[in-house]
Amino acid sequence: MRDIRFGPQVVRQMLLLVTTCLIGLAFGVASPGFLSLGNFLNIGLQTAVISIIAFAMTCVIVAKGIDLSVGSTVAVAGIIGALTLQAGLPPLLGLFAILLAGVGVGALNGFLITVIGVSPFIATLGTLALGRGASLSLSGASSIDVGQPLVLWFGSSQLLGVPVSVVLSLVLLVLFWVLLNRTVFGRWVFAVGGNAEAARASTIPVRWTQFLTYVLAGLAAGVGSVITVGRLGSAQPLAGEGLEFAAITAVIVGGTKLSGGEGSIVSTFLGAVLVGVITAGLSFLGVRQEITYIVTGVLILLAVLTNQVGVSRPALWLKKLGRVRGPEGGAE
Amino acid sequence: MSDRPPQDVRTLELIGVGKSFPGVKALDNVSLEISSGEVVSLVGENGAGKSTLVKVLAGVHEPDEGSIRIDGHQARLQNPDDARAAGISVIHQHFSLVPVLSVAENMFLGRELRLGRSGLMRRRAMLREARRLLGELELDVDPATPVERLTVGQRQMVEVCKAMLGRAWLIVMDEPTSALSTRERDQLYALIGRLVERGVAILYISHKMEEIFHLARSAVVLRDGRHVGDADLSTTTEADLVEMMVGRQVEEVFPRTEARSGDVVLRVEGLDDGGLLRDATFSVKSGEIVALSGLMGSGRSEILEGVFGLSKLRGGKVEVAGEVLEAPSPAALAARGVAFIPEDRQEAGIVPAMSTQHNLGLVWTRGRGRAGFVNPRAERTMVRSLIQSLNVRPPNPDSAVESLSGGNQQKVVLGKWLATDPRLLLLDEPTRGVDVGAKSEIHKLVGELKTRGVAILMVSSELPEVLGVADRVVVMHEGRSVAELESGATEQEIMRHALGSAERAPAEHIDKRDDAGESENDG
Repeated sequence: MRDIRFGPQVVRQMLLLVTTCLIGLAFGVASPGFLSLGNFLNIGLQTAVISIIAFAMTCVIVAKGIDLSVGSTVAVAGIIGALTLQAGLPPLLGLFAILLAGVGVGALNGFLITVIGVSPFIATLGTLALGRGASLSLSGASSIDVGQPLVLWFGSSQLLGVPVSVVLSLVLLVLFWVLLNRTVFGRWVFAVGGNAEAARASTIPVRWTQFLTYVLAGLAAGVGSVITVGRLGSAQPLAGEGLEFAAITAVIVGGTKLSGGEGSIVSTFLGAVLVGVITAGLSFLGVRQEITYIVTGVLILLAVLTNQVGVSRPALWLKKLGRVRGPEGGAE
Repeated sequence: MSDRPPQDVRTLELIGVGKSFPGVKALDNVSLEISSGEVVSLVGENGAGKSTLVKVLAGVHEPDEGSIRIDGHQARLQNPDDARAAGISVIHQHFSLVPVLSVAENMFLGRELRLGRSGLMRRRAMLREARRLLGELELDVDPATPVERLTVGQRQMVEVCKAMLGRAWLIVMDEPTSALSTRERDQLYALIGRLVERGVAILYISHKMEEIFHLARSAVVLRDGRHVGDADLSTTTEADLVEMMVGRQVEEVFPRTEARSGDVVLRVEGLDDGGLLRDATFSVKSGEIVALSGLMGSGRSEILEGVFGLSKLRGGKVEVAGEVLEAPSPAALAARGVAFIPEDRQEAGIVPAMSTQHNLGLVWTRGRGRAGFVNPRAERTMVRSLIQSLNVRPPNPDSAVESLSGGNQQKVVLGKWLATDPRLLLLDEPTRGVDVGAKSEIHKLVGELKTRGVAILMVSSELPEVLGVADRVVVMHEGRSVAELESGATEQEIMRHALGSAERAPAEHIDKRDDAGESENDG
């Protein structure tokens, strides 16, 4: 029996919060400059894009999908936006072009997966490569400068001393929370991931719901692209490399299950912050990149393990072992 | 290596075997004896306990009463390995073959011939051995072919060979002909004959009377988990055997509610899904319960799925409240007040990880909130009143549905649709796997809906349930609606139509087209 007052998600969130604080403190002890407002804002800045994309990724994964293409979508959307600006379009339209390009890639993913029936992993692996290739060839493999203040505002300005991107990620945290927890669509996402057959029998448009989660992921990548372009002052064909890894890490560390049907936006946010603090802390200490990778890898495995530890798990493992032992399972 | 001299007679005895599950006594005092070279048939209605008995023999369930004796010695079948070691092999309706591996590789799966103690396989020796065995059993299958390229009938034969290779002397066949063509069936008969000559014992489970009488010398009859008796098939008639299978006094009392039936809510004509369902015609009025009865695979459930648009129809007409639906879809049907409660709760009814509240709100929330938002307070009120009227336990809207009992899960699935005030309810096996208490609660609920003027179309394998609650019974046989019986009908009448042995009797919708479906019946 689970504790009635605290659901498993709440327990996880408190655990994540405490872990993040402890690790932050440890870094602070190791190098006192770590615990400064400036450094916190810096962590927020680095985490903003990851968490925004991780929110949408949570929707995709809860609906039992996966999107590996978000990183290259950030690049291709930025390049397309920069090209439209170069062609002389007004800044506002350039902004929309970036978002629209993201939505376009998301819709392509959704189409491949829900209409053609390609598995999510393969479909988005394909668009990952396609997007990278497209952004390199469209840009001639070099960065494109962007100077329009409106476009740069999201990635470079501050509101009351807080970076706009951080504010944006907090606003999106609320919006995605409302979407998943308060709308009919959010309910559908959980139902589709939890039991697609039952969802279908309950007249829920299963494929349409899945399609929309990929469009959301594309849109989130578009937003991430706007911030990235603003921060760098240019659109880079190699922007967003490894972003899919970072976003999926945040989602997994946040306790969302890849098997679908369960997950939480708040936990994903906390997962992103934890990963952000660790990454920033390690680079603050001047630790080399390979160590950072190793630590992130261990973190993912730890997260998955703590996710599986429960009363019924050991019994289940034993059962599985027993099933493996009996060859060809003539009785199943 | 699989040869066993025929004179070595082996015997399996079950003595007073019983097996209980929470809430059900699945097997009660069942005895049977079978020896090398015999074909014994195991018969009974759906849910009579045949599958449980098979699982006891396969070592999946250990009986909690009685004993098992092999060759006169006490034996325990605690797991599938024990059963295999005892020489018992079960051929299931779902095969346990690996599609991408070859016939020979499948036959040797788990007991590959190796080069000494190394992990290297002796592929050619295995092929040779497989070819020899296939030849001995006169089976025309190339051992090098991947199993995925074989027909269902050939796969079945490979299963049998695999069993023989494992030195099985008792082979249990669970409805082996249900997916076979007439020619494949004859080949199976021939194979059974050769197996019997080699001293193999066969426990043959089938619904089809002519097969039972053709193959077996005696039949063990189960009913409601009890062993009703053994029939010597040389002296028993088909009618007597059916009588033994169903001739029970209706013990469970189903609350029967009277209601005035009104307009026709659902009318289907010539429904055909290109698969199991071939030709079904009937109608359901408001305030009426119509039951679809028939054997497993007779197309009962397919009717519901076709009507609700979950499967594509190839032919026929679906008419809801006078409106002909060109392409039924779940959303279109739901919009017209049709609710569907599927057969398999786990697979298509509940979303296990969601709470009771969210499961109950799955259909209701759509189009009821503002701008796509769920109104949590209205949902809570709706859910609370549903939980109360359905008597869901525990009555906590936030408890995960996967933690509820089967009966309570079924109430949640029902409630999900009751929240939408349906005028036509499609119920597929509403009380399967549900304990007795929840069963009568569900029936009471269905009765209340009926008095409120809801039209109800129900599929049930349990004849007492069908007779207890239905106003009319539509009997299906091989995808066709072959008879429509009023509420006073007897179990024997239903079974006669369902088994296809009443073809001469006047029935309303008999289709006289002569095709494969008909020819399967003259044996």
